Amino acid sequence: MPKECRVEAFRTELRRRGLPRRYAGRAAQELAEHWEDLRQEAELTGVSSEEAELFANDTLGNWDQLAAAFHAAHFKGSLPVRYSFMFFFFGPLLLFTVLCVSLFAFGAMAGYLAGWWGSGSSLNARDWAMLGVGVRAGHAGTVIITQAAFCWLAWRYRLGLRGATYSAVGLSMYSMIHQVTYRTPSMGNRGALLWTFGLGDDLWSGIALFVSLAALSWLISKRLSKATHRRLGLGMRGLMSDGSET
Amino acid sequence: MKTPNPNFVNGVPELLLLQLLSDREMYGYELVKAIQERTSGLLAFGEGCVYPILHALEQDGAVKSQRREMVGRTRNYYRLTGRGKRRLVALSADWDRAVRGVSLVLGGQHA
Repeated sequence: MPKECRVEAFRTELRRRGLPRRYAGRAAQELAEHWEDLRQEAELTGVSSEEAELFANDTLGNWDQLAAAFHAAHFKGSLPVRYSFMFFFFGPLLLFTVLCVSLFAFGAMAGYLAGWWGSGSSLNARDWAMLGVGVRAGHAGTVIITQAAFCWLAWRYRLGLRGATYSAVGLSMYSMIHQVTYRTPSMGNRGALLWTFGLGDDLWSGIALFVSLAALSWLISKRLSKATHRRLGLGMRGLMSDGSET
Repeated sequence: MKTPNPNFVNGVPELLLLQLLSDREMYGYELVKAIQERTSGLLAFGEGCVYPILHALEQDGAVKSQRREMVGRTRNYYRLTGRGKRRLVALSADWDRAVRGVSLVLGGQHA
């Protein structure tokens, strides 16, 4: 195979393994330059160009094994791989909190500008009920988005089920210590949106909600992981957590 | 309690690369040639494997790379950082301890 085709195939292989385009390009470029140095070194000894290319190919090493080594090295140094428990257990809690606060702050601001709050509110009872549904849906959606994001990261860094499970457990445990309560306003009652920490009355429904959502995401993650392993032609266990292949 | 050292064997290529880069900055091909020269060709390996190790060292902040043109060819030059120097000292100490330990087991013949 000509050098250019081999280098391009190598670059494509790195991309298939989920490495960033820029890194794949750099790795391919460095190997191509090394290959060229080896070829020139061989030619200086007076061998033919075909023999020099053969020498360069043999000396550089097996390209498939090199792709696996680049893949392992790239992910080994990354934060999610090096500190996988910390990243996948506490990361979702941070993202979930930030998303929730942002969502509710945005809603509060939008409602203020639209004149929904206060005594002169333009909302009727039905609107308030719809708003309550929206708050709950937003809360549940935030959980789904958070877990989906970390499932994707687990797949991206080839941590698969391990990362997704940490994330699912973290979110489930989080559900035990926080509650979001929404009370629809009525006559003489302004209504309220409460976000509290600590063990509350609604503990079990909170747990059920989070665990079921996390389990659903866990299954999605499992499917993603299997599809990737099939695509890369790896075995059942696929890539180990440290990036090496089984 | 002494912590186990998983790099006992795996850290050897790192140690060699860091040691060579402590002398001067080099690019991948130069590093491989320097290893072959200094070990009199005793260490044989697929030469491409130095790059993943260099990239991992770069991710750890032990080395820095810079693309530079030299004699009509553009290459990635690697140089040691402060963190790399500290790592070299630690890896050298680990290696020295390992060699002394193995030598003791072998009856001091190789010390």
